[in-house]
Amino acid sequence: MPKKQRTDLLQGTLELLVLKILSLEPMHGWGISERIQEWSEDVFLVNQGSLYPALQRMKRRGWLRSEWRTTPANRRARYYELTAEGEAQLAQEHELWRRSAGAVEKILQVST
Amino acid sequence: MSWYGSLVARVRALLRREREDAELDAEIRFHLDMETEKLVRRGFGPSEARRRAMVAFGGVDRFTEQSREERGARVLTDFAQDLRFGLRQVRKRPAFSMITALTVGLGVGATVLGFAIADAVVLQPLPYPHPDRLVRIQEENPEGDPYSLSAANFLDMAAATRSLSGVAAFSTRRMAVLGAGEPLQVRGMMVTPDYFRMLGASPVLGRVFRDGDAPVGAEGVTVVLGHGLWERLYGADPDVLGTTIDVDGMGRTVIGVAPAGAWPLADEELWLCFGPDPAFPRGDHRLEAVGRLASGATLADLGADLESVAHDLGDTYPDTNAGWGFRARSFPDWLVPPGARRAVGILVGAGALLLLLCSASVATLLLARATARQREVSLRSALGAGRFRIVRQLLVESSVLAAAGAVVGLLLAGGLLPAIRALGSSALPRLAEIRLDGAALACAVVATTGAGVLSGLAPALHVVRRGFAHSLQGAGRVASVAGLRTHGALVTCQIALAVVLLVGAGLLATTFVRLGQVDPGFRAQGVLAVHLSPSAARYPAGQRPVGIFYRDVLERVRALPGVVAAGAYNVSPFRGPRPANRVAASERATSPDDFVEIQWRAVTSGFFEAMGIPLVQGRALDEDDNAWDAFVPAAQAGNPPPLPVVLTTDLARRLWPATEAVGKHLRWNQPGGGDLEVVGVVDPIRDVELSVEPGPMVFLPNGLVGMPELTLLVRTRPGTAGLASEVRRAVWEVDEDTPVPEIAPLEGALRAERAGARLNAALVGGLSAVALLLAALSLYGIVSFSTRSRTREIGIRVALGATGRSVVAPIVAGALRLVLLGSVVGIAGALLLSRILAGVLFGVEATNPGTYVLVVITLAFAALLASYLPARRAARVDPARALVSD
Repeated sequence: MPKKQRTDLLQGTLELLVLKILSLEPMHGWGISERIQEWSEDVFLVNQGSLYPALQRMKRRGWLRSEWRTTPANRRARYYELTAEGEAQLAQEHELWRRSAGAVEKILQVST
Repeated sequence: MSWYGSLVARVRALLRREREDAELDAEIRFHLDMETEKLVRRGFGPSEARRRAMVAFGGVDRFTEQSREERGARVLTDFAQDLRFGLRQVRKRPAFSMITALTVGLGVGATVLGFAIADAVVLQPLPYPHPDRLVRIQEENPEGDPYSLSAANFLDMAAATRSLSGVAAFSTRRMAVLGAGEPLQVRGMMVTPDYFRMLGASPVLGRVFRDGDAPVGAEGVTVVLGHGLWERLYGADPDVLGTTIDVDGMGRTVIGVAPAGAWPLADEELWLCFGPDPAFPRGDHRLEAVGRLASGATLADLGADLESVAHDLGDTYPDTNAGWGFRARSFPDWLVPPGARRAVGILVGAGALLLLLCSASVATLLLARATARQREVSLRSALGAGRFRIVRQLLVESSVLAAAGAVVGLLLAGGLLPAIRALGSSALPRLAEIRLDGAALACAVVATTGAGVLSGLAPALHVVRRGFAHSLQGAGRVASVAGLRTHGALVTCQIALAVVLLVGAGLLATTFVRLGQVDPGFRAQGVLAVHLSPSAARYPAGQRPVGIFYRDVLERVRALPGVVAAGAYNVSPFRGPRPANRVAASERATSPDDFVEIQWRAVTSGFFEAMGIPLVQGRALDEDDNAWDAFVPAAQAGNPPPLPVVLTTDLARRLWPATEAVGKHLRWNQPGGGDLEVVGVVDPIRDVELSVEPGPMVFLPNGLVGMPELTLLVRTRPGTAGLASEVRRAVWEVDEDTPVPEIAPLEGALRAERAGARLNAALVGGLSAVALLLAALSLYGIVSFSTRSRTREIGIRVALGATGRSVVAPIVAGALRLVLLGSVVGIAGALLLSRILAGVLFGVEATNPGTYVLVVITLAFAALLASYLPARRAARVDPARALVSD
């Protein structure tokens, strides 16, 4: 299998991805990191140094709330969950992303 | 938010942060565990998996696993790190560190010195068992003045009191010891048999006195040697027991040797035993008494007991005891006179004040530096140092400086010890024992810790409180309003403290000067004094040979070249005793109430000339007045001529306000007592205590009174030297067994009398000078700092046309305002505290306005000086450069 190219996450996209992942089910930090890696098919490898501060930031802005729960493997972990504002934020950012990605794509399609 | 509310919020935030940190820890640990497990499942070994997990985690220092595991050892490594950092900071700025260390050193040194003085003089335990149970007992006349006890009163009191388990009477005198070589004059003590047992002293050799050693009314033939004398005369020979030694003309058997050490009652070198004579006149007070409280009895019990005894005695012997009482006081109070205790308290207090001042000084220095290090502090905080951590580090740094200062302070104190010993031991005898021991070191440690924390706290809290974000961007040199206010408050405190110390020093210095101006009533310059104690066996008190002895001695001494006058009397100037009695004008001497308290002195011919006491009326006592043969035979035949005496003017005025005293007659001691005729009048003299108003005094001819121990006074022509050996030879020509101790100038005794005041003034003066210097330096510092940080503003003003004066004036005015505020606080404090000084002041009130005014003027002047220099420098600033600079 050809070596996958690892790409750095653009600032702001990390938050978008976290919001999306958490919109499906509440998850702890490690789980979020694994899912990003998995679902991007190893394109994105999250730097934990950015993940946790991002989680704190989003919590402070009110998009997430956190709670200590027990995992299926009977471990204690901090689970994060989307709040109502978080869901609204997700929709907003997703829309923004689609629009800017579309704009970039349009420019790239222009041939000389 | 109130200061209390914000404090609570701050503490709560601190606690919450701890919890958040802990939770973050757990989260990270969970993450790493999961990642490790995943890698293990992939086939890595557990430690390799762990390592990879941590590498994959990457990240900032804050999330290091290691720090979690080391949480236990963290405190210690943190402290070591703080210490290393602190030492590095100290080394980086040697000048600053030296100044700070020196300042702390001054404060610590002063405190340690004060403590050492207190320790030596007041705190040292007495070498007797249960010294707090020992009491000193005196008699009290109807006016409440303290008196020695008479033999008869002592015996009655000893028999009647129930609250004492033991009581002993004693008196001290110089005794002549004959043995090897020169006759020796020693300080001896006559004691009743119970003395040693009651004090609880065990002899080093042999035994102490017991009942049976003392015949009633006489001295026994046994003697107990003092330890020092035993070493000096016998070389500590244990075979001294049972040998005979001639003391005061009588052979006595040595029965024991007293223990060594600082016996406060025992400057004495030997003890004789005696039995008080109940037949001795009850109104003649000559004995001191010491007792020990019975177990269970209190001082109050004893007081009540003594009151009833006095009452009974007053009823039984109304002539001598009516209205008289006893008083009992705790022993330690007696050994350290309240004046000395107060003086020591003053010194300790002054030292403590200086320590506070030095701490404030150091705090201002550190504050100025801390503001300059604001940027560094902000950076450290951004890197993750908690607030508490930063404060702790700053405190460690100030403590390092304080510790260095402590070393300086101890060296300083140690260096000053010999000077204090020399200066002070004439004033406070136990001061000779002053030393720096474990207790003093402990005091130094406490003082240093206090200084370090105090001085580091203000700047540390101030810096940390200011918040970090904005100072990372802005200039570190900008002085915040809050910063200047704290700084200003510290300087104001220093000025207040300096004012207090300066006022104290001023008052004490004035006291010393006034004492120097007191006219003792005689002229001490050029007079030599020596205390003679001819052998009591050969020259018994009250007999003819005493007068002959002194007549012959004086004749020979007056013949020596360079001698202007010579005389003697029964008091050692400025040492004592102070024999007292009562007299009344003969024409009004019917009841005891007519009798007036007086001091009496037994003088030889030539006394008034030798002491330089001028006659106001009449004549001095001459050889004829002292002639035994002219007086005593007639007295014994029942027809005594009146005793010629000299009075002081105040007594003369009191007894005969309208007429001349010369030629009038007095009655001695009681109605029907001896007849005295006034032949001369002199002004009162202060021959025992300079600071006490002299009272009425009567001078009696010693040739007739027969006191054997007199102080010989020799007035010499200026420039005469080498008379001491001549005088000694003259005495030995008359009686070669009379010891002649050191012959010293009378001025020395006068100076020693002032020594206490001089010590106080010198010490407090020194401390206050340091205080003034520190306060001035701090003022200089704050003005300098504030003008430097307002360079831009000043530059603008100058650019807009402000002249030098209009720049300097407000700066100086600001400084003066600080001084004014500090002075007001300081004066208030001084008025409160100077009450403590009241006991040692002389000739000046504690609220003497002149002193306060002088102090304020001095401070204002210092402030002017301290603020003018930086102000002028600020005015000279180049406006262009000031506007451009950051």
